[in-house]
Amino acid sequence: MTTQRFPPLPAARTFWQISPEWRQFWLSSAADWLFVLKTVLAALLALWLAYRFEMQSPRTAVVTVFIVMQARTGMVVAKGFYRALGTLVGSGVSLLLVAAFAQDRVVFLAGLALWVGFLTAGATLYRNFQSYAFVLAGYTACIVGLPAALDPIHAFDIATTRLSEVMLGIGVASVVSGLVFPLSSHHLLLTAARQRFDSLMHTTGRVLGFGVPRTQWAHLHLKAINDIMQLDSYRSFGVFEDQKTRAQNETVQQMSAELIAAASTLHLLNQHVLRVNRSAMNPVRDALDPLLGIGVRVLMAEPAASPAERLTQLAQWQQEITRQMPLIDQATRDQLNAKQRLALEATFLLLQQFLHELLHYGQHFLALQTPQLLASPASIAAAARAKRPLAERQFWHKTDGSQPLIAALRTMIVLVLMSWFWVSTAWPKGEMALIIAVAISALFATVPNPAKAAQQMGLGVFLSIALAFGFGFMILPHLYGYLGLAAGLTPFLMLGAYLMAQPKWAGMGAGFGIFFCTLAIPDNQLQAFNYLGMANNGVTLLIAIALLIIAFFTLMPAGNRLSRYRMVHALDKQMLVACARPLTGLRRAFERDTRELVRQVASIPGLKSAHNTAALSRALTVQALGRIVIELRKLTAPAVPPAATEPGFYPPAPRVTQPLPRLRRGPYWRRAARTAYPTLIPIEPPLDAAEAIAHFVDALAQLYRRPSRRHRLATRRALYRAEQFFAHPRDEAHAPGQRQIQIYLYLAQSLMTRLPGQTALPAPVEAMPLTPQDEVPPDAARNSIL
Amino acid sequence: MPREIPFFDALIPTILLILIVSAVLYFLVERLVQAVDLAAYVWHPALFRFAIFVILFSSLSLWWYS
Repeated sequence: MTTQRFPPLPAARTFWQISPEWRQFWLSSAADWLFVLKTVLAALLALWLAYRFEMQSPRTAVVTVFIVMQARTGMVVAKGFYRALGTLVGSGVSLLLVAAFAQDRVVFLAGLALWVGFLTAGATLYRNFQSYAFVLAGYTACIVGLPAALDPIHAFDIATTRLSEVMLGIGVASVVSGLVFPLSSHHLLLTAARQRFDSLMHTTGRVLGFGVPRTQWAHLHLKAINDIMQLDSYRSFGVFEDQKTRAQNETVQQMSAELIAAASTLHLLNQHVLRVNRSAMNPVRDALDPLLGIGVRVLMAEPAASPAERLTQLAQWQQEITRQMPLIDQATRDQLNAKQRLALEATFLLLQQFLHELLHYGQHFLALQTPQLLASPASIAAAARAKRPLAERQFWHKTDGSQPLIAALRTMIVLVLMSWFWVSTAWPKGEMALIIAVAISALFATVPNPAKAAQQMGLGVFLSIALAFGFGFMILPHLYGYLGLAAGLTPFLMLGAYLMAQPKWAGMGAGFGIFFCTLAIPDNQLQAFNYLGMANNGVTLLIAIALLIIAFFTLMPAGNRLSRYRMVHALDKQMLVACARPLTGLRRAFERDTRELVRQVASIPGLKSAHNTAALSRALTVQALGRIVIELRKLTAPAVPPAATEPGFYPPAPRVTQPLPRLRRGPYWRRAARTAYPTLIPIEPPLDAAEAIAHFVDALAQLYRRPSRRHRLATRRALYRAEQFFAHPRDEAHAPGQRQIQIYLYLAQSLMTRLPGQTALPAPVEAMPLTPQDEVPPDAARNSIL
Repeated sequence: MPREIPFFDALIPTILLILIVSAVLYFLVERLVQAVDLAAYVWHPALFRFAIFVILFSSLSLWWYS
């Protein structure tokens, strides 16, 4: 006999509690529907105002609303601001172009191509909406300039009309998004910061426990990089939002800078822990385990304590480490051989440094979470002490020079091809096709995978043409007055906004929203029900977008060999930066730029995962080794003369090696002859510490300048020689720095197997999931398109 | 009162200038509001700010055009 099982009864609930289904709906999709409501409201309001003000084409205002609308108020205002800026500059330039070259179409189009290409290149150098402003300044020149050049008498009117319509759209979108159920991005920033904090704690716990294997580490590392970028972009929206966020702007910047520092030390620490895990290091592991265990317990505690408590515990742990360090050192003195002792001391060194940085980060993090902490005088003083100069806090979008060049060339080629077609066929709609092709190709120039984005948009365009026909010839004739028009438009606008709210369909939604409005909303001087006109427009749109997709697939497609090669090279060049640039502020600059490049290498689409893994593993090596080299150079840099310590005096940057060697310059047959650098390491022992290190750093720079087996051997030899020198120290050589140098050399040694210049690629590691994009929150996905 | 003002031969609507002036005034008022932390007593700060701006702008333009 089987006992009958009943499904559990729903929990009794009092009358004010909503049912779980509603709760689920509220949590998951209420934000989307709110976005839809706001977008439709703003679009209809902008449409009404534009008709009311008797603007020429009210559709521009509606299109602007669709482009600018985002989930969070700060994002809307930020995007609106940069859109206004871009439109202003673009209109101005188009007027200049018309004034100068209106008579000659070839010169005019060439000037336009140069301007658009120049700005598209600029757009790849910036991030977020600043990049968007560049793009916009480029293609607005097209939108305004082409009609104006065809009708030069009214050029100024065309520019002002466009400007006022765009401004109206921006104004309405900002006001609606700020007044109707405003959603602040401040909360988003706090949540993201909290998540980063938690995952850093968790990762640290894993690193200290067992170490994270290399394949998983790459994934975690990428996620951390993306998270920090996300934080920075939330910060940049928040500035536009309210006073509270603006006041915390600096705190967030400081926090990100400290976070990067801590994460980079953690990277070194992880590599080291993996090494200590080997069986030869068992005594070290045994000596360390009780001490590390305390930290792991703090970090991995379930349920987690509050951040403030955790940080206090970590600070206590740091003191405990300082106290126990000499004890452990003494207790194990006889049992450990030289290598093991080095490993032990390296752990202490890295751990101390990491905790120092982590606690700094924690301080800023707490200040962000509880702003009243900032108000107390003690914390103000502490913050002022811990403050980094502006240059170290800011994020630059570091990239290889090939990226802007490719983007600019592609847009220019599209423009030239399209205008050649227009001029030679005297196509009446050529102007529109040109505008659309240039606008979209400029917009997608900054997306990691433009071809895919353009395809999605193409789907949206297709849908919009079909529905615009339906609307224009079946619904519009029955409508009367503005209210009727609004009622007829609402379902279509809702569809567009809803699609935009789904990260998966965002590109299609944007295409639909923009082009449906362009096609379907009647002008102020009524020329509706023009069947031919609409058919022509639709066909033009389709041709333009088809050409664009072809261009994106054929003209240096995303992930092409050139850009892949250049990106990996840019990473190699970071090593030269670490080896040869002046030391002041070098570590921050190196870490910031390397992270940025690592992120870009990882986001190149269409790479086979083995290639991707190899590139990424190379990048991680550069990051770790570069850090070590910088520390070594710092330790052996000549002491600053005492006069230099007075405030206001900046010592000349110490230079250990020759100026940054050029990377692969000139044709290959000349390159071979130019290897005049001293790659051979002298056999006799070095005279002093600085020389030994300088030889190693030089050899490394040579290797990264031109990876080859010979240079690799030379590097390993130089390292061996330096290690030998420090293993048998001369009598005067027992300065405290010497031991640290030895530790860093020891750390460098573990990376020697990963140097570039192998004859064959290293055996393909198991493919790791490299999808940094799939974890982007919906808000971010939405504003990456358009 | 002129409806448009010539500026290098381009006719600029006066209301645009009024808009700019009221934006400047608005930022001054905003500073004041922050100094007394009025936003803490207001139900909908964004609406409050918007209303201040509308009041400034419309009273200036009514005064100008009447």
